[in-house]
Amino acid sequence: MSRAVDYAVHVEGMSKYYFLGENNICAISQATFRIARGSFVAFCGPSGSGKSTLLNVCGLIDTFDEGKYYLNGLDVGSLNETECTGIRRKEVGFIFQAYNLIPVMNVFDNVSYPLRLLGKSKSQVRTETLDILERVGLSEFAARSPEQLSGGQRQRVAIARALVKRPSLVIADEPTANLDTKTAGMIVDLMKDLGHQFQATFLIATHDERMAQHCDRIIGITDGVLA
Amino acid sequence: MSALALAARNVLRNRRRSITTILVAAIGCAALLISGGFALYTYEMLADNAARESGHITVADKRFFEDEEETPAQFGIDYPENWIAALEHDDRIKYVLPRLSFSGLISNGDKSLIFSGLGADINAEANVRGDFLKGVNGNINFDKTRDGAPAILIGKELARRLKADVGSRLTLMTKTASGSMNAMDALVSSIVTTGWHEADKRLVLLDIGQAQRLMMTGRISSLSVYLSDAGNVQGIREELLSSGSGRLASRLWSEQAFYYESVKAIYDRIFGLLGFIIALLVLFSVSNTLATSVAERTREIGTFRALGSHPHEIVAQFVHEGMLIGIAGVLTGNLIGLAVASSLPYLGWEMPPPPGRSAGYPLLVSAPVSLYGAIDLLIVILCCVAAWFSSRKAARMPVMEALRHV
Repeated sequence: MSRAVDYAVHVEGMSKYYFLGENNICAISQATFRIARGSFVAFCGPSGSGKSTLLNVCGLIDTFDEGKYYLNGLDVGSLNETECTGIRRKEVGFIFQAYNLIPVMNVFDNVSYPLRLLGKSKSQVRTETLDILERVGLSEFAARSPEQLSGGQRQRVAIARALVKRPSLVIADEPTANLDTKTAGMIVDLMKDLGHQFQATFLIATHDERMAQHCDRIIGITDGVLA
Repeated sequence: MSALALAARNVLRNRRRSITTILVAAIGCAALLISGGFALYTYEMLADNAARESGHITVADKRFFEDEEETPAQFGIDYPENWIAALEHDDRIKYVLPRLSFSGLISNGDKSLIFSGLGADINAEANVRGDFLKGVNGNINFDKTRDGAPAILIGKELARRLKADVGSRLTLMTKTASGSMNAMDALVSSIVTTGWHEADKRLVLLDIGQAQRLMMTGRISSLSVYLSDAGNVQGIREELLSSGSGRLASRLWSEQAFYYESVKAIYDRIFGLLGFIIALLVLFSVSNTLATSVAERTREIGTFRALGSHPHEIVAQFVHEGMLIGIAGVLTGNLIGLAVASSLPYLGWEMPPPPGRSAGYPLLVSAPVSLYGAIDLLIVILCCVAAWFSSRKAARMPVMEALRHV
């Protein structure tokens, strides 16, 4: 039998409910899955199917009500918010649909922010930030404000910010939803390429079948139930 | 990017709102500086008045401060000239003025009133008291005698009640040091005011030699010691006590300035309450505007939290912004405060007389560095507290709730 520690993500019987007055809405129902390290996995389903909720729980920015969740073998269900924040700081990168870049920070500062949270030295921050910007092809845009970038460039900045600290897990929620088809394809290729380079596990929520085709594995989800 | 640089960019993000917030802090700061400066100036003025009246240190027989004299100079100092010579030898002492206090009746022949007399070196007294002993009709040029009779100065209100004027002949009746009665005819040399209504109703001043003759004594009641620099008054007093005989005691001006203490107590409460209200206004105004900023940036807070920032780090970011707003506010507030403090002497505005006084005083405000430092620190701390207060809830919000915030 395989052990939880062998997987980047190991979910066992996970359920999550939203309590709206007297009605309980089941967002995730008895989800069980294992994701190998370095995998590039898509969770596919229509809007409201629970894929984003599942990814948020896996990224430790949301909680679950039942079941077990092991991240790199660690039972994170038993951790408090401070401990979860500590794990997010070191182990988890996020790529949001709306990019969520900080407008008062330029590209360099947005990307380097996670490194500064880790307390790295100025020279380390500079070297590692410029390295990842080079990899996403934005080194000449380092001093620009996010407002001066196109949608595709902004998402590349977000990818750089998610990967700069070399996380073991990257959560990408509809990363191409706001992009045209050509740019979306480039973004997916970039994520996959960098994911392989950094040995990061990517969990991607998408309802775009074409994007899912690029992934190592596709997990379907409908009404909170995994296919 | 340092935390301060990030805070500065966030402050500059919505300039109009930030300027409004900074102005609130600046006006609060200026209001505290001006009201505090006015209170300090009033205290200084009252303290100066009290010190000019009693001297920085009063030296007298111990019993003079503790018991009531039954006859004039009962607890007086014998051979005061020895003490005066010894004290005047000290470079730190500017004046040593002997005083003989007494009371009795003063009469114009038709009407007799109670007076409170002081035998003193009148010209020296006028010199040290300045505005607190001045002639109603100009400067005091006192001669011990006038037309062969002892000369006296009388208070403005006493002169009005006795229908006396300069040159009027009045009779002073008082107890002598031995307890018998004595009287003396005197000519009014000048009519004076101390600025205190009650004092002007009873005040009679005459030369100390004439007063001693009236009371048939060689004693004086007390010595008023005026220092060149009042800063070291406590140290000089201790030296005086250690070098004096055991019979004499001393009191600082502040230990006898009951009016100063009571006005200060009232003003402390009034200006303390005013300051508290202004501080609350600053706190709530800055909190209110920062709360708007926090609400607008809730999604950003969610992003920072998702990236691994702890709530206290988010709060610290807003506290830095509050600190910058506070610093900008106090710099502006200091400029306003200094502009008001430096322009008031040129405007020549007068305050109405405080309770018990017959003369007003100039509307001025002090601007000591200590006051500015304390109020600046208070405003910056208030802005930091306002930022902490406004951001702590959003920083603790569940990450998903913050990210979904619209």
